[in-house]
Amino acid sequence: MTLLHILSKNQPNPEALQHGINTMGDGHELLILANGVYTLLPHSLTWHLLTKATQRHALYAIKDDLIARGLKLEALGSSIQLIDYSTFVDLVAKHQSTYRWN
Amino acid sequence: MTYKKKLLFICNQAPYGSMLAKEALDSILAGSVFGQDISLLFQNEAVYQLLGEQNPSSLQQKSIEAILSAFDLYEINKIFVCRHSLTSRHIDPALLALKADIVNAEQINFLLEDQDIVLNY
Repeated sequence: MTLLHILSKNQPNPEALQHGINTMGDGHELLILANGVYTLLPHSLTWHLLTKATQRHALYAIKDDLIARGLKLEALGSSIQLIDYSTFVDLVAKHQSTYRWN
Repeated sequence: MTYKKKLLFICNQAPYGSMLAKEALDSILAGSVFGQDISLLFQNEAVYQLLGEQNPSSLQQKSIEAILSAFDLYEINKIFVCRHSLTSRHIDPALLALKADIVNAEQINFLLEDQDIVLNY
C-alpha cells in the first residue's frame, strides 16, 4: 500500500520536516501545495532537506502556488516536479490513501 | 485637542494560504484613512508577504505585493521587518519588495513601548 503525503502548511522547522520525510515508506510520494511551498524557498534548510529526499521519493509541488508567492521556479532545481491541479487529482487517485502532515 | 494616536499593526501571517494576511492589510489602510500615526511590523510568517514577483492571478486572489506597494500613497512609511524572522527563513533582506527598516528584538521592544495601541494580527 502506498500513501500520498501532503504538506499544505509551511513548516520552517527542519527537524519537524525531516520527521515527516522519515515517515515516508517505499513508493510513497510527497505533494507540496498552498503555504507548504514556502519550504521550497531556494537554499533554505527545508529546501535542502526536500531536495535530498528526492533521492528516495518523488516530490511534487503545485506550480501555481509557487508562482503566486513569488518563489523562483528556475532556482528550485529539477528534482522537484512541478504540476497543476489536474495532476494533483491523478496523484490522489494513484495512491490508496493520503496523509496530511499538518 | 487631538485624537491622533500611535498605532502599531503587527502582521504575523503568510499570504494566500488564508485571508488573514489580506484582512490585516485592509484594516491598516482603514486606519490610515482616519489620520492615525501608523507603524507596521512584519514578523514570523508575514515576512513571506515581502517577497517580490508574486503573481496570484491563478488563485483568483489580489496580489499582496500590489497592496503593499500602495502603502506609500497612504503615507504609511514606518515599516519594520523582524531580522530574526528573515534569517531563520533564509530570506535575503536585500530582496524585499518593500522599503522597510530591518529591526532586532531590542528595537521591536522599543517599538512596542512607543505605541498607544498595538494590534496583533
